[in-house]
Amino acid sequence: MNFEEAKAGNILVLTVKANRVAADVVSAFKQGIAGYVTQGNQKIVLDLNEVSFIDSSGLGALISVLKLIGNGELVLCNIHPTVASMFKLTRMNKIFRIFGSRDEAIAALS
Amino acid sequence: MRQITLTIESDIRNLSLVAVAAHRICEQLGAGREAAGQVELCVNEAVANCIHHAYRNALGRLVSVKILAAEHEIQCDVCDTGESMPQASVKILTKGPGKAEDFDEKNLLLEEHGRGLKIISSLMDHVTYLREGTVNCLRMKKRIGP
Repeated sequence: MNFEEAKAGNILVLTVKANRVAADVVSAFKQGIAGYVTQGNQKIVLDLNEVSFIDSSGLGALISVLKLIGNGELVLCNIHPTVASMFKLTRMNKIFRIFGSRDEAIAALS
Repeated sequence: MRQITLTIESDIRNLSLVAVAAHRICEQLGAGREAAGQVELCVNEAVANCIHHAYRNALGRLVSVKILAAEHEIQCDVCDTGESMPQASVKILTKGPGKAEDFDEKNLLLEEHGRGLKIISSLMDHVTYLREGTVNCLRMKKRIGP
């Protein structure tokens, strides 16, 4: 899975370059983000603008990265309505900080 | 009655093929975008469950997805010939819709697994699980239209 990287100070912004995050690609998704964390990135904005579908394994991968980042911060932005519905259904909106735009997410971590 | 059966080999790389097809087929059968998206998600979860659990990721087995339209309803049967689902999982599946509060149970919020069956139970209007001979079949029904 590919990610587009951008830096805003010490904040890493990752845009997920896929429209589906499901069990068939979840290993690459999880390992990809985890790799950025293990490289030392402790403030990450995950831009899900291109993701219109996420399944339970995708949510599990995000939780795994959230645990991995520990005292760092992983926030989400630009969530598609169907993905937002999934977060609401599973109460993941209680776990993750979700912002409407990339700028808002960066401001929150600055 | 209009119906179609899609069959894939038990390779997780086939998952998106059948899930995306289910979405489009449901729209063609009269489901709105939201309902079709929910069926896509539930077919995705059910097929992934077959591959990961019924077949324990073994390749070369078959998973079938039969989609048919009844009056104001779409039915999806996701079938495998692997290990049957444990009774505790069947109980979660057949609990019924509108149980989103279940996602808060037992600190599940921070668990990395265990949501798929509850998602199916929450989004589908009726769910049954049957084993007939060597075939396991998860039947999911979703109301559409008025």
